[in-house]
Amino acid sequence: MLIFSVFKTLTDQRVTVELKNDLSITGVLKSVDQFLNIRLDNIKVLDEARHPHMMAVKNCFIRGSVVRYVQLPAENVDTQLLEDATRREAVSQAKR
Amino acid sequence: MDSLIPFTTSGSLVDCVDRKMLVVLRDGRKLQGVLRSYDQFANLVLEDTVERIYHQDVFAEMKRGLYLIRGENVVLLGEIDLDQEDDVPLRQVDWETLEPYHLKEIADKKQRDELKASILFEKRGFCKEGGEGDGY
Amino acid sequence: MLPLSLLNAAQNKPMLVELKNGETFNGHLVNCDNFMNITLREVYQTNAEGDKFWKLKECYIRGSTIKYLRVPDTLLDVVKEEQNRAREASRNARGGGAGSRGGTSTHATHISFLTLLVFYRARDAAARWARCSTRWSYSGKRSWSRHIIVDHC
Repeated sequence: MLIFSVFKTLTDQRVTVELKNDLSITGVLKSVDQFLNIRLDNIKVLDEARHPHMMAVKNCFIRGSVVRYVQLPAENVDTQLLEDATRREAVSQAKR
Repeated sequence: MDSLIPFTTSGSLVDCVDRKMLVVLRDGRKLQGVLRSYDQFANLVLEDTVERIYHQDVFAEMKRGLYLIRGENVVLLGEIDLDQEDDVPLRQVDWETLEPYHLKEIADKKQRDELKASILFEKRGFCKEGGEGDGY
Repeated sequence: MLPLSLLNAAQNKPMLVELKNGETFNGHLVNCDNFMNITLREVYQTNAEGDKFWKLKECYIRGSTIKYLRVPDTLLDVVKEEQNRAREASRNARGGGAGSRGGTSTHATHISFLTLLVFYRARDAAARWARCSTRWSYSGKRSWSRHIIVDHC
């Protein structure tokens, strides 16, 4: 839930998603769901020549299970807050 | 309570219904068709589907019909901008002409990926990713 | 309509099933379940390379191995027809009491119906989301009845 919450706070930010099939897409994060499926608007494919099928695509839905990395804008992520929240979550998990 | 509709799979896909979409599958296939239905697993129903193969600046199409695609095989769903589609600088040829080039490209890529995976495994201990599926 | 309901409606229809390993199975759908497990009859199985063939009287395919299913193009229309006919039949049976508001099915109503339907399903996988003032429930044999409920938020 934590990472889902992080993504929720990052909507309308530009992010870069690297997929497991080595395709990298940069776009504006429009929405995310509990499976970390991502919806990007206004996308730009890095190395477009290698992926000609993406040329006419402006917006896309990416299934969470195929994402390798998501590059986030560092200034928009409060890592301290995240760290604290993670610690609290870990404690409550341990209790259960 | 604030509406959390955008934060569900349904919210993400509801405005894609009845639109022409590009579906990329895990095995590398590129399908284009009208999205008729979906569910929380991203299982899709795609109507009037056409499969496309690409090679350099050339592409070929084959009509395929009505598909029910299992969600775990879907990599991405792209909304095709119908205006941009005409601007794409690719030439269309026959499927039979392009298919051997396409198959060779796939075979070469498979070889390269296997080599890469075995080197990564031996040198760094990286395991082969992507074969898991959604099962647990 | 949901993908799995399309599959359910495709019983006795011919289809092509491709597995994750590239094998293909051509046959008629006998039955299916919510995991997409299916049974086919009069099946022609082909290996991934396309050079070996088997004929099977019937087979069971585990849903988790399926890549996709190709069904006849006309199936979508046939199913919508059947659904409409079933809806008409049940509406006539009920005497039009609860069904008066949804009489004319415009495109917009159809989309919001789909949205509500998917939300109802998504509810099982996630927490309750938006308020709804209308809730559909399944009363068996492909008939739906609508209840007006108060906000629960």
